[in-house]
Amino acid sequence: MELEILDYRYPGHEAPALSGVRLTVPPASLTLVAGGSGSGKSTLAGIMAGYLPGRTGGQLAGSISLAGQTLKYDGGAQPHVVDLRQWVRHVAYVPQNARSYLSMVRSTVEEELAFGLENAGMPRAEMAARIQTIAGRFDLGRLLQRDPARLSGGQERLVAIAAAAVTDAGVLVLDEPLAGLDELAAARVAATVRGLRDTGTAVVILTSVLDTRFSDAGHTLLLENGQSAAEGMPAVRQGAEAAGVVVPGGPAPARGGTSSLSPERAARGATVVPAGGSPTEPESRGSAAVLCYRNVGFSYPQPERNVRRARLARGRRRDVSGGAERTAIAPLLDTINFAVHAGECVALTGPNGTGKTTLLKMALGLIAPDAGSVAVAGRDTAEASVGQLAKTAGLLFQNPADQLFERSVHHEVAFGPPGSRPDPAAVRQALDACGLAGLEDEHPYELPVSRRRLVALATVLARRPALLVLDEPTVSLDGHGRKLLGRILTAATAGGAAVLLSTHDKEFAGAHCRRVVELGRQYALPHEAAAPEGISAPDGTSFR
Amino acid sequence: MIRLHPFTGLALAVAAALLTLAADRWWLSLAVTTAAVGLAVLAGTAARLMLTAGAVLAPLWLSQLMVHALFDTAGSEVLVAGGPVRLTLEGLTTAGGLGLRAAAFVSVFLLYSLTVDRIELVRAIDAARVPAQLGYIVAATLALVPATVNRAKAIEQAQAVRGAGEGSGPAGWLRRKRLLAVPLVLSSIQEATERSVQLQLRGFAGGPGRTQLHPVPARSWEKPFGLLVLCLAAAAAVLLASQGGR
Ligand SMILES: Nc1ncnc2c1ncn2[C@@H]1O[C@H](COP(=O)(O)OP(=O)(O)OP(=O)(O)O)[C@@H](O)[C@H]1O
Ligand SMILES: [Mg+2]
Repeated sequence: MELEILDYRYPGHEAPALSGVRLTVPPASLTLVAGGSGSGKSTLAGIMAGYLPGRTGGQLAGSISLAGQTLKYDGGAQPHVVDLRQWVRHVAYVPQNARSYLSMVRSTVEEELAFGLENAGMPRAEMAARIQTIAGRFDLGRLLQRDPARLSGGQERLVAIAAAAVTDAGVLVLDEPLAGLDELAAARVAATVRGLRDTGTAVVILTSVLDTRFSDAGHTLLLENGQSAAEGMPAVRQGAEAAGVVVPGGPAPARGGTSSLSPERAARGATVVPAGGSPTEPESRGSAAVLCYRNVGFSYPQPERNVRRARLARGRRRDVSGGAERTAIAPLLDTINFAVHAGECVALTGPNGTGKTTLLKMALGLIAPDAGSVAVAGRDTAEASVGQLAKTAGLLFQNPADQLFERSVHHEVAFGPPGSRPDPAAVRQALDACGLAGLEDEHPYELPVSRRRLVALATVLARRPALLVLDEPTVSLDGHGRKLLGRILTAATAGGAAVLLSTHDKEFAGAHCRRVVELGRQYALPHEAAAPEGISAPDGTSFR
Repeated sequence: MIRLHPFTGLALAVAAALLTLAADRWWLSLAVTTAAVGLAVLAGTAARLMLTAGAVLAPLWLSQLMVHALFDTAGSEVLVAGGPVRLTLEGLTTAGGLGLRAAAFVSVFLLYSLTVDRIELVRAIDAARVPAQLGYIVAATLALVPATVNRAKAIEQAQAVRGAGEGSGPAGWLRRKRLLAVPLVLSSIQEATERSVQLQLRGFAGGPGRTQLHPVPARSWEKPFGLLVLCLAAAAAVLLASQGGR
């Protein structure tokens, strides 16, 4: 595939979103396009995927060659509309919001993986074989019979990438493929990407994080303001930080105001608390716990349809001994104990699907624990409504699509039912803190994803909660956004707020959080999970 | 309950609706309605069926009552008269008959839509040799229903965590729904456009020669049975209609 984009404008915008970008993507290559928020990555991806300019009214001048054909665009308002049915045979594209890649017209992950293949008319046997291979590569075995609409954020992304990789398209375009994935999953994706490249696929990765896993990319490009600012890894690395690209392992991000937390101090302060409480919980630090989990246990109900399907699937495969129904599945969360105090920032980590989001939602009463209790400012969440808890706590959802619903940034941040509208001064302050001054009238959905995430964060801050619950706040933030977040966290804890955030970014957690609570011992050793009983340590910690 | 292929269920529903509409016998309408409610009880969706049916039927019944019963001008057996109101036996019978037929029709199709596995229906349509574009539109529309439900839940949660979850009872409920309405409509439109692009990007624009990993299972008797039921219903409908009712 070859792209030459002289100029691309979105309808109604004067400034070009992309200009003077040239990209050649030969077979069996890995191309990394780095860039901060709004640098034009997703626009580039959209053009490669074939849906831009399409019928959106955008104007493109340039040419695209794909599989021996060349499309020329003259920058007119009536651009050539590509036939997506043909295009998708050559290009598979996973957007930044991986959830939107899932078709939602299939009821299991297995069929979701098959979806692209079905549409291409692949025979069943071949389809099944391919799915088995890809599921093996991504370790999706446990998820195959699950409902794609009920996956955790990381699982959604993994399934989407698998569903794109399984199509065997010649060009694979991945927008932020590693965001929100745990170490293992990220390693699997990176390995698969490399494997695909070695077997002839042209892989293009768009990212705002220069992950070392992709440092062997054959071609690297840095986008800034829609223009290519640097080419080649060394040059890109040099210009990265200024362009808003995160360079892990690089100089620690500036932590607004407090540079007092040296790495060593952070490391000493970080205590790993295994799931199931721990003796290392700092003893009473004078301040009361703002958020307290006590012996929390929880499992999602098994949807009836999937049980039926699983049974059907088992029935089809005669070789599996059908008798033993999996009656007792290990609970998702089991005796979780920890507390977050005023003025401290605690990180919640753990592999994908271990229940971080579930646990965080409990703090606002969106999910009720099966066992144990969750208390916010001394008040049991079981006895308060979500609205009452929202007076103390604010939640940043993992996916900004779940948080934003208003028609402009200002409406969004100032939203509140009569009587509990955020104070205008607080709204102003939240907008400024999130770097959104001047964007008040924009539609949140027309902002770049990093900005959208900051809008979501501003909606939380505007209410000035005493407890900030942030679900993977670093995901989809570019370098500039992360700096803002760091500053916000510092200011919040200095002002006496308690912060609980989930993250896969150990570096960020180390730099900004005093303690780390690690979930998911249950799944760390999947083979032992089959053991009839967990072993209980004397202090009540249970290892499975 | 045994699970039927989505098309078998559809054939049964269409047959029942056709028969009641054409026959115009009050006892038949009543029997079909009762059967639908009975099956809904078995399937555990009786409450939802009644609620939704009530919401659909109440305005319908009311308007029919006004048109046919209260202000009837043709009937001869006047029961009540006064001012513009003229309640006749004929008018009441007409309104009752129409109302019952509407009830049968609505409850049969509601029963179908509440019990059918939408995703299986999508796959069945996919597999059937309907024109690709039509299949695509039907499938995308059907997929929109759960997507909208999910979206509504998400917005409600997003509003609740910003303090909008207050107030219990009908007043609070109403307030929450009012807050929900505009964002839901706007974001549904947005999402529908986005999803249609995404589906196309996965090659779902239709086209011949698509395959399925797990075709929807249909027992061998289901297709002939469904066709037979449809034919019988059509024949009966024609017969009853030609006899001229009542
Ligand atoms: N509504 C739901 N119904 C059923 N199962 C669910 C639902 N939501 C999540 N799950 C499952 O529960 C488990 C925990 O999900 P959760 O979202 O809490 O994970 P997480 O730790 O936040 O993961 P990630 O790092 O990917 O965000 C996952 O296996 C997920 O598939
Ligand atoms: Mg999560």
